[in-house]
Amino acid sequence: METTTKNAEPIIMCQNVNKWFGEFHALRDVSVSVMPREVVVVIGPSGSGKSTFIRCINRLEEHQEGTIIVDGMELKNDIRNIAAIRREIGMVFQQFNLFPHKTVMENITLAPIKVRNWSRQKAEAKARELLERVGIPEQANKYPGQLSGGQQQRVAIARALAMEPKIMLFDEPTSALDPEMIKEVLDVMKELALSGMTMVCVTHEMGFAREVADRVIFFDQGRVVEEGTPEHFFTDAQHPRTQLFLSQIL
Amino acid sequence: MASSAATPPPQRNNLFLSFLLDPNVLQAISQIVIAALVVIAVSQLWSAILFNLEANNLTPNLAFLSNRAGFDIGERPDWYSSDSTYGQAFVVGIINTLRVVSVGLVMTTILGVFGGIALLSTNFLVRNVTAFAVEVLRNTPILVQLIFWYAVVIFSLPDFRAPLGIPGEGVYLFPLRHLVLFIAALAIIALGMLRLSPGRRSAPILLALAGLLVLEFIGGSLGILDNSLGRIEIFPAAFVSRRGLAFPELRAMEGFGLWLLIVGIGVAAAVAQWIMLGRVTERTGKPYPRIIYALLAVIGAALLGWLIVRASGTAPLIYVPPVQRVNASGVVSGYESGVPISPEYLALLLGLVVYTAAFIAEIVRAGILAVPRGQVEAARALGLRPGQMFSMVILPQAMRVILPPLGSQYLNLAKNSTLAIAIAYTDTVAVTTTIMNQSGQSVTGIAMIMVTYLALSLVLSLLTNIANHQFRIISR
Repeated sequence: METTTKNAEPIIMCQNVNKWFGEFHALRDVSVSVMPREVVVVIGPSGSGKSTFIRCINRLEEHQEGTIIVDGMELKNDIRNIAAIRREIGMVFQQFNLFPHKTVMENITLAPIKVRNWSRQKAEAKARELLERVGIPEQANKYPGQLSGGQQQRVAIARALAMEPKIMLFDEPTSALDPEMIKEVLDVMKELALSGMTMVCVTHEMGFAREVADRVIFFDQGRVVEEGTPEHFFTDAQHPRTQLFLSQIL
Repeated sequence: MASSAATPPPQRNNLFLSFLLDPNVLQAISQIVIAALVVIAVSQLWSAILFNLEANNLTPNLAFLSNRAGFDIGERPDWYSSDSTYGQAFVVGIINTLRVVSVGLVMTTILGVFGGIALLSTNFLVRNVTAFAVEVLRNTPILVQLIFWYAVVIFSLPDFRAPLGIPGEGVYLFPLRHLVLFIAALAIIALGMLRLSPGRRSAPILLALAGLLVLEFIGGSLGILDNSLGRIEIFPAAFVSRRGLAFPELRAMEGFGLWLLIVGIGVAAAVAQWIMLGRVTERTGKPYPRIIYALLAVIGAALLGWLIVRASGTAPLIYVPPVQRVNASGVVSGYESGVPISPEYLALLLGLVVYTAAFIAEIVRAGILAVPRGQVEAARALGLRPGQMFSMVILPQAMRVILPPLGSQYLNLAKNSTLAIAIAYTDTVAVTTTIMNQSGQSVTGIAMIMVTYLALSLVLSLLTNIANHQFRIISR
């Protein structure tokens, strides 16, 4: 991680990205860059393309026009590039998507062993360290179905971190959680942000955005309508659509 | 209940009635009554049957099983003849049933799994052709299909005097450049698979292959390409005729034991490297192509052993094509050598396998689709390769959905094998029907059939239940 902290070079660079789902124009000329160690929060009404945008970054969705360059590699239809980029990007989903037939430990160690070719011992040591970090070291041998939603999401974060990614993507990580459990997940995310991880988060947690984001990007109808620092955003939003959105959720 | 104890009961003298109206008591009473009715009905029926059978001197018993059967069975092991007993005839029937069911279960599983994956293929042609086949097979009666295989497919095969060899027997001469062409085609496919991304690779590969064909066609017809000939001798691996399938016999020669020993050493080496490299991978994370090493060890040992044995005499195994035994009047009565498979067995096996595979294909398709989309996304986001994703994430979860209905299809195949009687395959039911007709012991015969299939079904159920337990998901 230390080697990539040349601040001049963005780690994610999107230029004029366009994406259609059939007739529906989901992303319109999206150009966004993310610097190493930067925490970017993406907000916007539902259907505005914010999830589609971050899913394009690790190729869960395929963009049709424009270029996306991640960590110096262009995301095009080359499986070697896609595989290399996915190794460097961790992703956390709204629905956790833990593997229900594997224990917490197996969930976390699967990719490091199979994709990074780590020894089991190294992968398990890393997993224990991460479980400690997300605050649930005692759950290692349970199955996801035996954990609460908040615990599952923390395991999902540990699973993504186990690959030692350079970038973490969060796709509404707290939207499927009970109010009580949101805090425990946000605390883990805050700690991660403070540790210097490059993060792109789609979230409705304005408190989180205000507290840890370096930059907030507002999406509407597939466009980046406005972007700026949290202070700018929450006190001095310029665009009428942004003002309307903020007035409804704050 | 605690609340009713607090307030005194309104009518004290109805204690007995309130005891009777307790739901637990009512349930117990109704169960006792129904059980008693069933016992009475069955015993009445049984004694009526016994009475009538005794009147005809046909008391159900098992003693008749040691009587002489007096009939021959179409497909039988060597120890059976018409002098054998009814009991032995029945065992032959069971053996024939198991021959079809055991091979059928394995084949239908393989075919069905491939069918299910084909139904989910992104290739338009593969998907739709499979879907059409599955619909036709699922929606026509299996009895009709069996008769189709037996009377239409098998009987349109060549006569047994001129069987069709697969592959055709003979010496083939071919221009050596075809070999070069073939290697070039393989290289194009391999290069395309490695260098191009999925979805964009078919067109360039097909274009390059078409280019090769055009080159061959033009070059060949103009005579500018080298025309020196190569020579291949081909021995058929099987012969097909209306008499069924006949495999050539591989006869063990003198050096066979030595060859087997060398192959055994190869297998042992393969297993040893598998375990050792597995441990190394576990410890260091470095992956090894264990399958390739194992294949190399086994194939290498087989070739080496062959050369060693061959050098000191004859080859360890020789190829004996099937030769029919013809009697004085020119009628074929069997095989002198080779391993024959009867047309009845073949038709029943094919019919059951293909019919059941259609259902299994749908079950597999449904099982794979039942795995939530998010699981695939999580696996992709972690960087798992498609093969790893399928074997470690999709399949274990799909199995949970697939296994229970798959078990039912296994039972269906086992029970549908009794349709053998329609195409004159001598399975348990066919043999027992003959036994019942001759001995008059129909009650015993039916009971024997039922017990046989019940036992078979219970074994299959047990196996699927064990497998089911392996794939359960723990959630509390």
